[in-house]
Amino acid sequence: MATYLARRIAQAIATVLAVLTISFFLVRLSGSPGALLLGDNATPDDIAELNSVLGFDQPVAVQFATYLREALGGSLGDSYRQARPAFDVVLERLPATLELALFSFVIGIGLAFVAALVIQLSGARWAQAIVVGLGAARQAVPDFLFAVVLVLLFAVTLGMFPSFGRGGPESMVLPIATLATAQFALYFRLFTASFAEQESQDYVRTAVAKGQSRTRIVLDHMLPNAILPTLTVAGLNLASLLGGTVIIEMVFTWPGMGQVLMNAVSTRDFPVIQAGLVVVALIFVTVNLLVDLLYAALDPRVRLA
Amino acid sequence: MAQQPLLKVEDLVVEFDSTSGPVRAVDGVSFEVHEEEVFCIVGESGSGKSVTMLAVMGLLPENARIAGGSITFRGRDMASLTVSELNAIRGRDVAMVFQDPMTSLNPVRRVGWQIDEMLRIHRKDLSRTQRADRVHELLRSVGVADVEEKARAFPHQWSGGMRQRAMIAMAMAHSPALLVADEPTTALDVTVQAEIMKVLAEVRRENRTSMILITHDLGLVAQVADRIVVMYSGRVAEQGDVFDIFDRPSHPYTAGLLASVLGESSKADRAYAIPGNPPSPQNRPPGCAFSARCALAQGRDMCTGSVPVPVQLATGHSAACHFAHEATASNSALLAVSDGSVR
Repeated sequence: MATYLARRIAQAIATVLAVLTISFFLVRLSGSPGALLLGDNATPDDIAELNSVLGFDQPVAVQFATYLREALGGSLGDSYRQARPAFDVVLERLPATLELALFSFVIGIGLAFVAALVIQLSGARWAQAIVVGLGAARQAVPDFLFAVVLVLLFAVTLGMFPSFGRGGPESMVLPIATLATAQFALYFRLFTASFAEQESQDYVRTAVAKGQSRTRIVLDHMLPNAILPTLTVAGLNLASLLGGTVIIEMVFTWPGMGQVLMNAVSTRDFPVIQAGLVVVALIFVTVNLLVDLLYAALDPRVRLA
Repeated sequence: MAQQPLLKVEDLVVEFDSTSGPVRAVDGVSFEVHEEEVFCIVGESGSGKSVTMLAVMGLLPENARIAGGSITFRGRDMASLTVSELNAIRGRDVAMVFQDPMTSLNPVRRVGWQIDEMLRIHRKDLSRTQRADRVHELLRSVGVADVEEKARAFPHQWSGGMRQRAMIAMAMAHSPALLVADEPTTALDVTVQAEIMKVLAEVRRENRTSMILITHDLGLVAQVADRIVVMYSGRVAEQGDVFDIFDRPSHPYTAGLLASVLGESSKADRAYAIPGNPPSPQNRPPGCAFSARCALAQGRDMCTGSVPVPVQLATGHSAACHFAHEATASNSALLAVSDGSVR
């Protein structure tokens, strides 16, 4: 277990290093940021001076070495726009994104789980067909369009909820409704398919031959097996949800990490882009590690070694 | 024999849904199983032998249904029971051991838990410790050592043969009147097969349990069977006691099966094989399902014209062949050619 954790942490470090390297070269493909930062009226001398202050006049290898040395010290430099540590700029927006992503995830997967389980226990095929149909319809609509429809209906027409910004709990309703419905559709299909797959397994037939009741077969036998395949998908999905609900944050002007990253890209605020990518990478490796640990706890066949 | 049979299956018809309409996987099967006997159902893959027993246990998949006939267990019509009435019988009075012990146990539950489940269902009066003692006792009765440690293990930590022992321990939890074993040794190593059959014989004797053994292994049948039914393409070809079937086979198909096994043991020749392949239930030919492969049938209108009814040859021995009497004679000739004696 200890060696397993050590290996996974080493893998996580390697992943973050790879992300650091790739993001460094990727952002530099668009050239030096001096011109863009200073605007149309800047003289070539001003631009050259700013590029020199930011270190862009040095060879790329030197820039990269400086960048890595600073990164290992826990800093990715200051934001060009805000003149304060890039990590601070990103991390102060993290709670807003976490709030949105976690609530949507928990509500979506929780309701999907309960709905799939109730339908499995009751054997109500018609209900399953209806929910799958509604879910497919929801998934066919892009998130931004669905969000706009919700805003038109509940904010503009009915005036029940605010259409943008992060205020009290009521400001969370529409963004979460957008994300959670998509999450629900995804997980309902996953759970349903997973249960259907277990239904034809031999061990279920064994349990029926024992005289076990349908309820206990679903809860004691099928449920633990049905959850396993959905875990992996849920892990990846949660990580990408936490990594940025960019479109939703733009539609609802939600002050989250996605919004900061979008702005940083359009203004070539390199340190902020890099800090954002590192944070997302850390979220990914952490969630995946937690999912693997959870998987091992639930499936006795999996050994962590 | 005068007493009421333990299980009586009469004219059982099982249909599967298919895109081209219902398919009769089991077509008018009748047999009786008596107390404390070993009853073998023999046939090739697709002959309907397993489906017949799944129908008896109420375990048919959703796309299949009993379309005719009756199943009577201890005088009760199984098809008319509610699910909870059926659940009171399943596992307690009739238990089942399946073909593949790798998949028949739940992979995420401890073996002991899965045996204990039998007690939780049917013996609600027992306390937790009483149940644990019983689980250990059951495991010991099928030859498992270190039962306390083994009971805590998960199925993947057991070998195939051990898992089949666990399945048997589970099935014997309530000393059932009838044990249905569906190819219990097919998925196991040859060396393990004999051990499992020995365990089955022991627990059966101790618990005075009747056993229905579903198999295609005629060597096994010769060793353990009291009575035998031979199935072909969803129908009963022949049934009788072990001597009737092995010494006086009266259906050309039975004779072909025996000859193909005997041929294996003869050094001189290659194994005898029945020409052709068994028809799938969708493409069952009119008349006798075996007619296309049968040496006796060649050209006779009766074989392709009407489905043969069982011909009574002796008490308890019948063959569903229009020319059963003729077949008996020609079968002896075939068996003589393929050299050797069965038992």
